[in-house]
Amino acid sequence: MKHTAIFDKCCTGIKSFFKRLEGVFKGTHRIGVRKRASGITGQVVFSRIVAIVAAALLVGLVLLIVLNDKTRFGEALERVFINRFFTANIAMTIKDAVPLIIATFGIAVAFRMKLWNIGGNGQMIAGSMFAYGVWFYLRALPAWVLIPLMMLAAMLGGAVCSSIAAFTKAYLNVNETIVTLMMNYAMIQLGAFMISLVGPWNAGTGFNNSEPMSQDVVLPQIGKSGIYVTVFIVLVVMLLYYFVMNKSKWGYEMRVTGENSNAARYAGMPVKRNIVLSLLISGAIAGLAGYCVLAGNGGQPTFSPSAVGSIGFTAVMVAWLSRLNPWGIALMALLISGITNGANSLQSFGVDQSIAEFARGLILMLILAMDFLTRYKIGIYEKETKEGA
Amino acid sequence: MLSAQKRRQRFVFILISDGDSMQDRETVIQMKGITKSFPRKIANDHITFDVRAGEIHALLGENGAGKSTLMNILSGLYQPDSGEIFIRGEKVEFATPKDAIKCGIGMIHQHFKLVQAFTVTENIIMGDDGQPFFYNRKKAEQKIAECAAKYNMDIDPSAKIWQLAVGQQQMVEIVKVLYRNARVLVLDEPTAVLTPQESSRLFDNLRRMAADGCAIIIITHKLAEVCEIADRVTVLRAGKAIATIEDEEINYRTLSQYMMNASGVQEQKNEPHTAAVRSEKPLLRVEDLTLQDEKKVMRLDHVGFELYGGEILGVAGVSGNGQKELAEALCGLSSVSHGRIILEETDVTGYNAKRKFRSGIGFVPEDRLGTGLVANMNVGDNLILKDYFTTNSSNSLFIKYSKLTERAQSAVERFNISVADIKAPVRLMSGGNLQKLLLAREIDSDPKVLVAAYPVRGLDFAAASFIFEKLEQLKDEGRGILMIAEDLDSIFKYCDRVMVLYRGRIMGICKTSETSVTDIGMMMMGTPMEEVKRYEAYGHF
Repeated sequence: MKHTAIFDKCCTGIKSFFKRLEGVFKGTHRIGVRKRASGITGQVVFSRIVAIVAAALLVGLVLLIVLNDKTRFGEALERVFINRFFTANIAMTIKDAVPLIIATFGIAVAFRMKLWNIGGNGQMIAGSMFAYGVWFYLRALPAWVLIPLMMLAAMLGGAVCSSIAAFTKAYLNVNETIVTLMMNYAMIQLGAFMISLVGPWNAGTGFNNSEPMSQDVVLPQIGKSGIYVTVFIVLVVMLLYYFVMNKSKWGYEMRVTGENSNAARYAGMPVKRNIVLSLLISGAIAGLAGYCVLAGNGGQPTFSPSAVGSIGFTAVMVAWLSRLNPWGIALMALLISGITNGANSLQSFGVDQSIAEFARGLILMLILAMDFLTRYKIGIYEKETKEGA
Repeated sequence: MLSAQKRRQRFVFILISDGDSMQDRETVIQMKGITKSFPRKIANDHITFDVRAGEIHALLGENGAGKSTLMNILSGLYQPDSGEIFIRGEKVEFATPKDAIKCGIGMIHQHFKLVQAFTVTENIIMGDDGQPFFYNRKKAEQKIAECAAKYNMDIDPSAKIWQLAVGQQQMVEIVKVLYRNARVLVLDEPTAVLTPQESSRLFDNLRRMAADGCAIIIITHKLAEVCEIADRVTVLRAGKAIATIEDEEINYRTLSQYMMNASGVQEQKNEPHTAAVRSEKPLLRVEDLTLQDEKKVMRLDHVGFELYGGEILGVAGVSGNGQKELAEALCGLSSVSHGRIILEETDVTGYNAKRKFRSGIGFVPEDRLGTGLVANMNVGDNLILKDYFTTNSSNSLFIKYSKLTERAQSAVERFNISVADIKAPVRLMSGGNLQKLLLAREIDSDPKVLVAAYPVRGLDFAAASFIFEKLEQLKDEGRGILMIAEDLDSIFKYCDRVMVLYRGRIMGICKTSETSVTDIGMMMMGTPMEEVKRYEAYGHF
């Protein structure tokens, strides 16, 4: 009995599908994309899983073609998708994810107001530059004074970098996307100058690099885990973000302003002040991420603008994919840095680096594509009719 | 009074026409048993409808009664599920709007379909298959000019659309269909965007076309218009044709009866009811309020008035004559160049929006979703929009989100807001429910004075009467309400006094019971009240 009911249901479903398909040819229906009413967490998680499975299949296919030693196929696939998450290598993933997570929180503060800060890179460079500068000029001070001072300086640096966009946006309505983007290049060049042969921070060894910082200001690992104490910065930023954005009055103001600035003005909210504040805070947090790149990875850190890589841009993607949800940001950043890390290590299998980058791009693209499906659904719909009278 | 005017006009036009009487006019269009259903509703339910040559036929009904659907079927935009259309007795089927145009049916939409940067001629011949690849501009312009002149419409065929006033743009739309030899014109809410002057001009033109043998259908929900112009009226309600009435029967009483039944409201009230309390002293006093925009154009020109507790003061005027600026100045959204706003005893002129709100001025803005509400947030989040900083909805740091659902639930119940999911973004709600939500927030904030800009614009009858009911309740509680409105119907029905704005100046303030639509109309056109009075007394200026 039950089976026939299910069968019937399937039949009507298929029938209605074909009826609608017929409508497409008749002109009463069309294939279209519709926004889903609201994102359901279950759907989002499911879509991520589907995306990763699909990515595994595709990357596997690529690896089958390009691997010289086919016997190591399984191992290579495992390296990309599993190794960096479920083994001791998780420490490496976390270490890489720390600046990405912090930078994403920074970006997200501006995104909440629909201010498209894509200058995370520049702000991170500015942050690490200011922090390094504090060490460079004040190195006589004890480490317990220097370390907090460097953090504050990094935040100040990030905020200074985003302040141009902040004030021009608020008072002259200059597009913040362009200003923040341009600041990236300005910061790269400024950083390159500081460590160049004619720059003030050149180590004097005949190369374009700066002097390594003294070990007492480099942040330590937690035990021998390979995870650095910067994870505590992540936790603090995450909790602050959650409470300020989702619970506080200021977070509410930002949400309203981002959704509808007219309504914000109508309610008497200080729109301009909030634009400035959110971009400054956004820059400050990204600057802190820059500090983590500088002092939070152990070794013998020197200042270099290229150390930031493209974290600021990856952060934009993470912010978008996680829909600015604080827990989502952390998970998404972990996922992306793990996969990036794994794909990069494919080189040890005799695969060219470009293939590794290709695999990484493929995975990210699939995650993005699946994300589209959680926001929209594709189907056959009756043609839009101007209903109303 | 309207009715006498109508008869006079009709008399004139019968003289112009061949003098054929109503009865022996040919039936041009006959729609029989038209049914059209949409996924969730039946828009047209076996509607039978006919139009005769030389008549102006009004389709009257509330929003969602099925007027536009029926006309979209007639103009070939929709295909009916069942039913037949006959043109001069011949059965036709329209697959596309082009088929309908070929049969001489032209539709003039509420929102004009014109290219702003093109000239009148270019807009009219655009999409006309009869034109050769290189068209003769002179010839086309000449033909258009003739066509326009025939019905006394003065439009320059070589003018660009953006240079024309709204009323003229509508004329272009009309000429566009006439140019394609339409003999049946369908106009969807033609007066919605027009000034009273332009409207009467339009009506003159329509009468001329009817006299020339065209059949004219106007879709409307304004009773006054129907009484003024229609020869016959078909009333639609919930997808059904309720009645077709003719000539003598067309009056407010009959029509409103047919319309009212739809909403279950008993009878139209003619006198605004007097509030239980009316304050001795004015609640709000505005003195010499002047506002210039960035281009130094006077938006408000020495505006001064008083608003008492327990009254509704209507602000009439053609839109764009300073109503928006007045509302925004009162609510602290724009700063004034000169003048004072005094609430009770306090000077609140320089207060910003937040302080104005706290001192007791509520504001229902014109643009609900664009200004008054945040489309992507839910009911609760929208309810605290203006008082999120008070102890009512937050402590020193955090918003009391846990209390919000309860508050939303209560507002939804008290204001009869129909909402599928209280946690869903409000953009999914209908216009009427949005306005109720907006009003709920403003009324719950316990304002001394409420400024309501176009509170019932675009709402159907049921929603509008609910809004008015709430406003009257507020008035009974001794609050003062400043209501900006465009339709004089609701001003006369609900306002105790009316103030007319013209180019930022007050033309006059008078009791609605002591004035007439004509007087208000003259003031809206820029005649100060004293002159209107003198005209009434002496018959000339």
